[in-house]
Amino acid sequence: MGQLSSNPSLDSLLSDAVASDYESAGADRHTSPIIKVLAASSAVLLALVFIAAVVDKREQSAQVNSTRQALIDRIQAADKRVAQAQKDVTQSNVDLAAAESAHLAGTSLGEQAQKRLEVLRKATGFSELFGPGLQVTLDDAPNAGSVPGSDISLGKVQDRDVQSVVNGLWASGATGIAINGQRLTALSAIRNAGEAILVDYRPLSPPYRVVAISPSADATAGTFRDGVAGLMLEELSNKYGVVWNIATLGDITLPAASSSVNLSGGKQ
Amino acid sequence: MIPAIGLIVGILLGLILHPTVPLWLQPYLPIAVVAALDAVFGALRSVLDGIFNDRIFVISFLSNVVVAAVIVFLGDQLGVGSQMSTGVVVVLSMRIFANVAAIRRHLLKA
Repeated sequence: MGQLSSNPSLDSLLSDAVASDYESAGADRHTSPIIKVLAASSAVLLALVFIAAVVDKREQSAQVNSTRQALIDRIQAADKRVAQAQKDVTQSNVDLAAAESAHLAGTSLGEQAQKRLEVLRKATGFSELFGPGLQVTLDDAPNAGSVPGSDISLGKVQDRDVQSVVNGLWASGATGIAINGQRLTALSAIRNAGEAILVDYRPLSPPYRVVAISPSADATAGTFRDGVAGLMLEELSNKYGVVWNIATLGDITLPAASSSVNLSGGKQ
Repeated sequence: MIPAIGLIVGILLGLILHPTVPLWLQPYLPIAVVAALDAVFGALRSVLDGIFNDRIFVISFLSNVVVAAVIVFLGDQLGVGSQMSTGVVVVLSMRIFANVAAIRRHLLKA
């Protein structure tokens, strides 16, 4: 070990530190009983220290594990409560609608109000919407990738692309729109968060299927294709390879908007 | 021979009793373990060298543990406890390696 260093003080430091304790005194054949007892008890103590350290370490990691498990359990319980509450909300909405129609039926004024409510509900996304549909499918370019050294990603569908598609569909006469099963309302937000596009704070994954219902789906599809949005999609597909198409679907049902949107709408 | 029996008794006792370490002792536990390992390997080496000595075993074990604990305690008071622990662990590890190398030379002639 000493040969590694040419510095004498470093040499002596190393050799002193690692020198055997037993070399100074030779073997002692005549140890007194007290020393023997002491040696035995220090050996016992030594082993105890070792075992105590191991046991302690294990107990600590067990504690960490149980804490984590408890937290996971609490999260799952809270999730379950949220799911239950959401189910309750849906059920209450159904009950409310039934009570309303029961209350409004019978009088002509009531029936008028009922009809008006239904129209409003469909327009605002409060209730399901049934009718002839069309679908605009948008997808990232097959070779989409980010430009090195910047956060611009070429060929990826952006929030504003989806926004213009939605706006184009509204402008072309759509009465209700859903993106990947998320019904849009007047309060819906479509925006980017990192890599993902969020609709009403829920992340979507490509391909983006924008489904619209329009009384005259064929005409809407034609208007959309020739409108600003259609031309923009054509441009995106020529320039960046974004994949898109539009098709009519026949009669479809759009889901109602999620309850959280209704609640936030109710507060304002 | 006696210390070897003591070791086995200590291990059995530890496994049976499951000793818990008080909180104030926990910072010293790793140091104590390394010091204890150093004493064990030093003793093993001296047995193979034929110069094992009960007296030196007791004194070296106790002084190693006490000095290591004092250094770490002082370091804690001065705010450099973790650095001191590192120093103690480095020195004792060097000793352990030197002892194990000697044992290896004895047993395997390599």
